[in-house]
Order: sequence, then C-alpha cells, then structure tokens
Amino acid sequence: MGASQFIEGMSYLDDSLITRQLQDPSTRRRAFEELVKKYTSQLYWQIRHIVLSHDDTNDVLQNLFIKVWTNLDNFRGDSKLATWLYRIAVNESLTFIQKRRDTVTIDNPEAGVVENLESDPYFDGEETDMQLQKALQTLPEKQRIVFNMKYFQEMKYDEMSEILETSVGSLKASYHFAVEKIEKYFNEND
Amino acid sequence: MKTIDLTSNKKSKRSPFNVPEGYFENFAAQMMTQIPETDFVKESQTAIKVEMSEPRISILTRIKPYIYLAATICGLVFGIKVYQSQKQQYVGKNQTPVTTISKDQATQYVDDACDFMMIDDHDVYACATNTF
Repeated sequence: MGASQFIEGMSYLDDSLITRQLQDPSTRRRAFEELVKKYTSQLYWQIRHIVLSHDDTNDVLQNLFIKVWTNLDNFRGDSKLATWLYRIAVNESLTFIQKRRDTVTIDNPEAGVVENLESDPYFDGEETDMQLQKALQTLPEKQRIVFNMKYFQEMKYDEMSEILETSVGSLKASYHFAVEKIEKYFNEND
Repeated sequence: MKTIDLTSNKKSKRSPFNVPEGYFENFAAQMMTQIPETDFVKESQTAIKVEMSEPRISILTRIKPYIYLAATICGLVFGIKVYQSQKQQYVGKNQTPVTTISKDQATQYVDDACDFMMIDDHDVYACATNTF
C-alpha cells in the first residue's frame, strides 16, 4: 500500500485542496477531518509495523493527529502532505519505541515481541509471520523501517527517500542488508 | 521447515495483523471529538487584527489618571494625619502638665520654701529689688 493509494471504494479530496483548506481558519476543521479520513489507514499500517500492537498503534496514531492539528501552521506546503504525515508517523513511532525501551528493560527483544504478539488479539499470523517479526527485531532501527515500508507497504524508493530524507541508493542498500539478515536468521533458526 | 521468500514481488502477501471491526470507519469521528470545536486562538488573533484598525480605549485605561490622582490625595492626607499625631505626642511628652492652684496654696508654698532655704522677708525683699 503506497502513500498515494486510497482505501478501496472511497474517494477523497485532493491533497492540494486539503492543504489550501487547512490554511483557512474557516475551513480548517472540516479539512482536517477529511485528512484524518484519508490517511488513517495508511498511517495506521505504517505505525503498526513498527510498534506491532494494535493498542499502541491506536495511541500513537491519535497522538500523531493531535500533533498534526497543533502544528498545522508549521506546514507550509513545501513538501507533500502525505510525506509530511508519514515523516511524523515514523518519528512518533520511533519515539514511542524509545520510551518503551527506557521504561521496560528487555534482555531478549525477540522474546518480548513473541510475548506481545501472542497476547495481541489482533495478530493472527502463522509461525512464519511470528518468525519474521522476531527476525525484524534483530535489525537496526533504520533497516527495519526501510524493510517494513518496502516489503509490507510496497512503497517506492522515491517516496521512502522523501519521507526518511535519505538517498535512494542508501535505502536500496539498507533493504538489501535487511533481506540478507532476515534470510540468515531463518536459516539459522530452522 | 520455515521458509520465506522476501525477493519475490508477490501480491498474495497476507498481513498477519488485523484491526477491530469498524475501526477505520469510526476512527475519524472519534478523533474529531478530541479536536476543539472552535480554534479560539485563531479567532482571538483575528479579532485583534480587526481591532487594530480602530483602536478602542478600555474603561480601565480611561479612569487610570483619576485612580492615580485619588491615590495621591489619599496618601497625602494620610501622611499629614500621621505627621500631626506624631508631633502632638512629641510636644505632650516635653510639657509639664498645667495645674491651677489657689492663692493660699501659693503663699503656703512660698512660706515653706523660705523656711527650707532659711530666708526671711528681708531677704525676699532684697532679692526682689536687687539690693543685696
């Protein structure tokens, strides 16, 4: 699911129109509601693949939209609306993970993931899915995000480059290393 | 044996994650309850801009000089009162209380004094005429 895709069966206002309406105080609230409807699903999955649990994703998503509302004046329209939102989503997710890591000391992050996913009623993956999530926990943060964007959300490298403010070459290299490490993990844990 | 093919661009990739039923449909409405109905800050900023074209003086600004004047007068009156009361206390402390005595009492007082100082009428007369 790419940043420019819509939820199936629904049509939304164009980003440039939403941006213009957001800058006008009289139409700001209505435009914001439109923005929430349009991007909820895309941002949700972006966050979910980083923080994993539905409840945590819901919290991060709500905080994200509140942050967007309070910082609307900072969005000048220089970058795409979707890029701006995705960037905030990645930052908010990483901040959340960092806070969780600071408050809960986990000796074995893979075991922590299994425990969380097993208790999450909104995870119905098979053993391979669980193994993949465990393998992802062994990756450095940036590689994990790049892998999630490319593998699960099928995002283009150009889009990822704008969101993560990293060159396409570097992203390709990160994804390549991530795939290698995951395959190695699977081979070692057969 | 668990195997995974990460290189193929398969569209049949199934997400192991799901969400509660109706989550996405209801999220926006739920989210909007957390957003203030009116942006008060913006409204007040707009109001200030409108007011800037036609400046209005508040009641407090108008009566401010009178408040200062009244406060000055009160201060002066209070100061004068305090000064006067302090002055009266100071004068009262250094003054001997005035008492009236009768002529007989005065004569008696002089006689007693003369006896104490062992002087007679002649001495008193000489003192009064400066002839001694």
